[in-house]
Amino acid sequence: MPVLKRELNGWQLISEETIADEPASVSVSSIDLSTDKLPARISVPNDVDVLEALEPLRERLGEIHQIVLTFPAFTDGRAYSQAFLLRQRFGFTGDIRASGNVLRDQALFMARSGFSSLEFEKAPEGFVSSLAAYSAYYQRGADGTLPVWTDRHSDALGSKRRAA
Amino acid sequence: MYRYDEFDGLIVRERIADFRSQIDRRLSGELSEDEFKPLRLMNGLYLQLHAYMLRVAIPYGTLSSKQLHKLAHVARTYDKGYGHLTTRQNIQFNWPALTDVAAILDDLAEVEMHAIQTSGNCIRNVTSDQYAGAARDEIEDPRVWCEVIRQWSTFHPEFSFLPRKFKIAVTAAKEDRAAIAVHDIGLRLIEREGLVGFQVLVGGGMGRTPYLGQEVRDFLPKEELLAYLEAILRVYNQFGRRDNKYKARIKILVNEIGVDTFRQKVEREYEDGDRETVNLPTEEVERIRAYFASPDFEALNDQSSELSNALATNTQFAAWVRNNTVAHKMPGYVIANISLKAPGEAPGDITDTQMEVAADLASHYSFDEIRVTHEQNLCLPHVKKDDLFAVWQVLHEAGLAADNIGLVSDIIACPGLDYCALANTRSIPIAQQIAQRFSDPRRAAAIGELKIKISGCINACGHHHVGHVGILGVDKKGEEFYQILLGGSAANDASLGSITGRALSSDETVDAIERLLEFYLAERQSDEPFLSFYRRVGAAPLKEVIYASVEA
Repeated sequence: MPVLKRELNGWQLISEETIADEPASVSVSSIDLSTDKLPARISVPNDVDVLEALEPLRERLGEIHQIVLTFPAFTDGRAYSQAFLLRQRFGFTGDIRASGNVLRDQALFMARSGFSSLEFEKAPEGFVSSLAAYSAYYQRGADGTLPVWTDRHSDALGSKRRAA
Repeated sequence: MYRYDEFDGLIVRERIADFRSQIDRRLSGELSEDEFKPLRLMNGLYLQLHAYMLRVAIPYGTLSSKQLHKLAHVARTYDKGYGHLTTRQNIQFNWPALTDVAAILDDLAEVEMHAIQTSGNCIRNVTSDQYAGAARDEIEDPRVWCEVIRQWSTFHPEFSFLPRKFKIAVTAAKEDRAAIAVHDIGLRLIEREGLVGFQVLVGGGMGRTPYLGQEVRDFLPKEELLAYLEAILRVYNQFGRRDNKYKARIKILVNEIGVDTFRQKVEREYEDGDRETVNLPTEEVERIRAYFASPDFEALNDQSSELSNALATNTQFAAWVRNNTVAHKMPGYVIANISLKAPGEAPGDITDTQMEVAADLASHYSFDEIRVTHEQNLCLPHVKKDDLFAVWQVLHEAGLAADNIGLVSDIIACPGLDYCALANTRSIPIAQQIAQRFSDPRRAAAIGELKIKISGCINACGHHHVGHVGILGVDKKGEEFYQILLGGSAANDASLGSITGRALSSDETVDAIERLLEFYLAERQSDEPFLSFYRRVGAAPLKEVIYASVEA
């Protein structure tokens, strides 16, 4: 399945070879903490409390390259909160992959919740335009997007918060 | 009232372009109906029994005359010349063509309106006190916080695919006119030791499993509102049930895990959360607050000789003033309600012509403001007593002078089987029959304050659980029957009504309500209101009256 990944120059389709080279993901519940090396890819089912499940890994999250979160149906939005928590509460800076029922009309919600790669079924053209459909947001996103009030108040406080 | 700046306008225009693309992909077959459904619902577009229905957001029920004129234009151009006001202070158009929807949204955007999040499993249009900014009993204008919530909840990336819909109401008055106890989150602005903050209720709601909201926070400093709402929503989004649509509202979560466990989860999330970047800075709250500054009221004498003269000479006007007006915070002004419950009419329906009349009145006599109430009426919030007779004359001419606010014929009713694909029975004809049965104003005045609320199915859009008298339509082998509930209230003394017994036919229902109210008139103590009467005598004697002379 094709994957769009957020790169420095925007969302890019990654090559089939890269995808083929990705190691299999290991479910968070079956990780052996006593080993020296954590798996590079882990998956977190969407009914798992990420705060509880990842707490034992908190100090070693830097070893994990990618965390896969799932949308069993696009209407099931639990993974949005999981992604926010991974970015904000754990400061996870690796890749967060959206898998499952990933559709273009939800892609921007995913990106703003902290997902940095999207695995999907259909052609990517629509995804790219939907990801760019809005140029202002009312909330701070987990992807670093700023709320409109930072533009409304370009005073000292605004820039302080912008830098935060 | 709030006015869009360049950013608000930009977001709404980009939303229309986005939705236009979604409609085009649906029409071309690229999107299946299953894929399109949640998208159109997030934009207020339902597929009803006969046609699409578009629900337009009226944030916290506040409209300018320009906006109401535009709604009249939409009703005339794209619909059959009328709209329907809802219990979320929104307006529904029942007959738009799918191919016209994007054009309607373009027209609405010209006057800073939209249909965003009026449906779907997301945070819905936030509702408030229709007397905000005019009421004597409020601490501050609750609409400031409603607008803060509106912006925060619009396309929230984390909370747009919740287990189920999510409704928030805000009041700042002593008397709760926003029914906060039957909302997913009910917020009441209160003052404590010189500080203003929110009492936070969570888990109220109607539907098939009604609950009253429970207190999760007794006092939240007001500047912490968004961080606390995020904490509640984050707990709900993760742990709310998704296995059963009927158990997916936050009220079920709160009651399954218990309010104490729920509170612990929320408080922990709030403590650990990213409060600094979620809460608005004071500058932004003050920017929004400035839009809700009081209009330039004149310094007036509270007594108006114009009003006194008109009251003395016109008994119809006097009755309207008695029933439809409420004291204003400023001397010489009143709050004037426009009833959309004229006996014989569908509750909450308003024609394009009536919209134009009401909009003109708002611009001439009410600082350009008009409100939609959750009881499906309109309200002119700031009318000079000197102008009241002139206002009434215009309303009278337009068929908008029904003098029944808060009385037996001021009925909340859902659209029912006349429009709705979910309904079991019709609601509107029952409301019409009851209103006609009690059309004698002396009888209605004798009965006094009475809230009748009618739903055509168990989803409770007509709020039957919180009617002093609630009526619930049920289907019995293809025939319409109605259950009667007693003792509900959505006010400060919120309570859920109890079902009295087996369902009755529509004729039997109207007869039973007449017997019930005659019994009340005969047995009440002095001017005891119906709800107090019910609470004193209990359900038993009233059940007997309801089922008397009904064939067993």
